[in-house]
Amino acid sequence: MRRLTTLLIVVAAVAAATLLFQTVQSRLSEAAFAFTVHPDVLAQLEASRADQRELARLDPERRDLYRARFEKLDTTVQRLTVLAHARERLVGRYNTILLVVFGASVLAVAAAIAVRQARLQPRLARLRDALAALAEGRTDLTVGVGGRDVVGRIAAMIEETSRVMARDRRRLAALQNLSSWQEAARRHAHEMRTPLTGARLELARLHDLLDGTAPERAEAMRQAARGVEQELERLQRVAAEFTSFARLPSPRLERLDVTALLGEFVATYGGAWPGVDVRLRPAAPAWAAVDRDMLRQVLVNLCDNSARAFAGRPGTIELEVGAVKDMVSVEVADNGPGVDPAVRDRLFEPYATTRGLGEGMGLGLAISKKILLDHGGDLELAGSSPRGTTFRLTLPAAAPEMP
Amino acid sequence: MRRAALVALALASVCAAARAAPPPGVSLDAGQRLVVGRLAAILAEGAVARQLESGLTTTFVFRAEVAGRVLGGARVDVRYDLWDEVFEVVAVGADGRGERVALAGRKALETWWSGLELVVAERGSLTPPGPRELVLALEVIPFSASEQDDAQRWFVRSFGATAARDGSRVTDPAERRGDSLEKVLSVLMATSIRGSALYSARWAVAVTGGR
Repeated sequence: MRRLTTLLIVVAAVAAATLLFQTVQSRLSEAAFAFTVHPDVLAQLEASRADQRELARLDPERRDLYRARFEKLDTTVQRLTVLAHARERLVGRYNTILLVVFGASVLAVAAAIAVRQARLQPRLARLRDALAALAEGRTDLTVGVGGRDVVGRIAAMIEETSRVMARDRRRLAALQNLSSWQEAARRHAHEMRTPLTGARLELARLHDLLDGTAPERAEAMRQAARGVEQELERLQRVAAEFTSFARLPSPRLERLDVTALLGEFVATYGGAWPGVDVRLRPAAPAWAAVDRDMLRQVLVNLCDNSARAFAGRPGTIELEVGAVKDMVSVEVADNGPGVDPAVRDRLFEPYATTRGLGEGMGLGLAISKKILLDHGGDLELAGSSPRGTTFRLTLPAAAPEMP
Repeated sequence: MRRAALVALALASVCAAARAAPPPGVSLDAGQRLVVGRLAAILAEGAVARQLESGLTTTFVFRAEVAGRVLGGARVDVRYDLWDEVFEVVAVGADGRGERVALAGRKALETWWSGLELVVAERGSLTPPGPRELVLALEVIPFSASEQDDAQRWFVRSFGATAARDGSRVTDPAERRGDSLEKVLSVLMATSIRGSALYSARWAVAVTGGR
């Protein structure tokens, strides 16, 4: 019923427009043609024609010239006279042509609108479904509506929103996970520190007791005590690492040019890993809110991991600064053997390591990830293959520092 | 009886359609050809009289019909040469014989016209004891076919005159398409330039002679 009403309104509007056009146009065209073959125009031409004849009579020497002019004027008069005879038909044909053109234009526009509407309906339906999915909390949506029109732009916005939501969820989950691990680390450190202190005191007493013992026996016992001491120191370091992870401070952000910061890093730490060439690709200044020391810690950690992966062989680590929308990105790429697929999925979880016992706790990447998340950015594995590994750091962009 | 009444009714309606001009005379000549004469009044018709000295060719087309069947026709072309002030007249009858004359002035034309006898149907078209009445139709066309063609061509040229005025070559395809469209439109317009009868008449006339 509603469609029928719309159709009737469109038909009525087209009919009214056509009628108005026809009325105005016919008046205008009649006037235009009447002007073209106006009796005054013809009369003037006829008079000029007669003048040529009179001139020829008065000036017989130039008769041919006047004759030629006469013929020309005569031809024009005759043509106009023919047009005057056919005026009604000419005007009628003119109006018909314009009416047909107008009608065809209106029909073409109506057809274009109809086609557009027909194409718009399924796209709007997809948009509606995507919005409903977004409202339900689904993320990483693909609306599947292309185009640069409003619908296409809205679809792109929905997709972008869902991507942002997905990213934030992942970050939140990662933060929650890391917070749990931090709490566990804090407890472990606390639980370890008390018995460690007691063991150290007992060991000191043991040294005192050894003073009265036979020298051969005392030496053997001292050696055993040094061994115990070394193990206690290692446990002390583990406890310190737990503490450091558990008490990771909040970043003290300042607006910095990340490109310049990386330049400083390469200049200072570039030679810290023998056989490893650390380079920075030239890039434009990229301003971000950064804790200088923490970012340096992350870079040291990543370069340290790469250097370990090279296992004494020469290698290259390349740093590259980029910008994606409102984020600054830093890619740290090495040409090492790549990340072991067995740990790739839980790479940023604490204690995920491929190193042997006593070679590290596997907290470095977890700490780095936590640092970047605390910055409002992220740390991701951008790619890994037997030809190399790339980590991507993202940081919220900041306005450039005013001079 | 009934048929006669119908014929009478048809003749009456034809007579009513005829204009004020008195009917020409139609007769069978010695060779049994239909000849039309006594045409003087036609030239006096207002529209015809005004048209004659326009410089365009005024064409008089005669047609003889019986019960809707065309027996034959004749044509007279009159064109006034404005420079020499003479009427150039060409009369062609149904027998194919033509007469071309140049007449100096209106008076001479009227004199010639009043004596004009045109063969409108060949021998045997109307033979006794066939009907002795026929319809003579006349149409006066204000210009000839060649003048019409010339005006149409001129109109087409004038329509596209703006694009061609500077004589420059058009290289832009969109402009060329525009020109083509303009040409199509101008041709469509020009084909509507056709001569309609300036004056027309139908007379029901009785055929005289030939008995």
